[in-house]
Amino acid sequence: MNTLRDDLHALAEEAPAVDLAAQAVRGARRRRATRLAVVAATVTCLIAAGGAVLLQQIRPAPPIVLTPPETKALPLPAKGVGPVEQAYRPECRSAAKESCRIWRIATREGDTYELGKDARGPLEVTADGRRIAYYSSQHRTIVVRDLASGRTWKAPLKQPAEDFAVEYALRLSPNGLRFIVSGWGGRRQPNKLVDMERGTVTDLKRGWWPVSVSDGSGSVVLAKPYDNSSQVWVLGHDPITIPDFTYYYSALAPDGRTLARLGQTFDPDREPMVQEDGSIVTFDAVQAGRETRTPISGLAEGHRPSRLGSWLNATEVSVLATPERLSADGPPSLVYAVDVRTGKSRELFALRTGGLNVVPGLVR
Amino acid sequence: MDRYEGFHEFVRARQQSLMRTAYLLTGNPHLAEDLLQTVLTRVASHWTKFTKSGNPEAYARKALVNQALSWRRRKKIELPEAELSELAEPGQPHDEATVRRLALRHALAQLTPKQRAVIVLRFYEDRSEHETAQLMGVSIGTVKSQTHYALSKLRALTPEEVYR
Repeated sequence: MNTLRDDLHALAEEAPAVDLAAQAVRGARRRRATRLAVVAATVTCLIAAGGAVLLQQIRPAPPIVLTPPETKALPLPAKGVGPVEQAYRPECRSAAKESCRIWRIATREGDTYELGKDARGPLEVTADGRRIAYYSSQHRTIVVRDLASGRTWKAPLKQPAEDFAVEYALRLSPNGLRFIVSGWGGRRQPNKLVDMERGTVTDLKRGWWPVSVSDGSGSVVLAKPYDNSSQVWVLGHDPITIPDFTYYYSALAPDGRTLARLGQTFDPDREPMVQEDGSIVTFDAVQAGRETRTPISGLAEGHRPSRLGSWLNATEVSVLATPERLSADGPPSLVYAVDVRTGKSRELFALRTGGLNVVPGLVR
Repeated sequence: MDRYEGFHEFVRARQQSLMRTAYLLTGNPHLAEDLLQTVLTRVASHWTKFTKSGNPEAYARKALVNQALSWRRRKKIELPEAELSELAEPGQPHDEATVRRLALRHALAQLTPKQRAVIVLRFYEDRSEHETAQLMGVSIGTVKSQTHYALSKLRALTPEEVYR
């Protein structure tokens, strides 16, 4: 092995000389300034909102509709909650604070609720927003909850919290009662298909990433990226190969075989070599063949498509578009419905900024 | 007091060594610089904590490995696959060590992120299996198996009788 050691050392000597101290300090100052700016902005908004209330009592003013900063959320009621538009975990300056790890859900009607301390791990929302799934530290398992009826289901799979201290994925079926839970980088690296209705847990092949899970005994789609290509595998069929390294897939379309992915181009003379081209590519996930590439139009200026999600109907898929440069005081990320035949998009809602966001049905 | 006092000295002393590891982990000078800058920015952000207690270099090395794994897994970063034919200029004589190094560079590009990381940590940084497992956040069994697969792949991709 000495030859390998020597050759690695010789290769390492080819590393260019750098001087990164000043850049790193500038970056750290920027991060600190951003954090402070968020706090300052929140305080300013609170003062402004308070001032506005006082002023309104003195003299009637024309109605100006401002979105007030959210300061309080009610505890999630046991039942009777409408469909979720989005979930989020507010950004905190200190991750050690109790309030930093509490999830909030915002319903389509505009109500905001806070989940209990038991649900501090991963959280996902079904594509229709009616059910949430979260890791319960009390039960050491994934719990699915129907928000309207309050009914809950516990997964027949106990997991330590450490499974979610590393990179993980929790991919729900449309009704939330079937899901894949996967993890990378940890000690256990689970990759399991869990069926709450049947009470079964099935091991999936290691190294395959979950893309889509259907209800009941419907299709399960996995993907595995290689350096210049990826394999997509609808279980029960042979995997197909696509010519992109990507993780950016949609859920399986209502026809049970079409998938969409974000388009990209490859040019070895460019940096980075792989770049998104702003298109959406649809392809048959069961049988390799023709692909359809459609440029996405109508996104807000400065936004680019960054993730795909569930299908809203036979031709529209949800797309998360993020600003080119994410910053605390910049524009928020937006969720669109994009027609895969025409590329036309229509805005659905904006994400609450400054924290971790969960969009119902998003594949991530 | 400057909150980054001592950081410049730390970077000046250790950045080249960290850069060499970053270069081996990514195989590309630009990506290596990006990777190291990301990690050093994070170190700078926590510098006041490190000055009270902590080991910034250990943190930086662990962050380098994790960030490299995460970049290759989650981001669409295309890592270069140096072609031997491109690297070895036609008509130019190359000594055995040079050819071997070129072959190694090519072979490393074919490894998975984890396999590449174990090779760098075990055979470049001379880390024990235990240390490698801790740095990568995986079990010792995974380190053993990834090392085995990585070496098999390297042997298959490099000239005969090398790395036996």
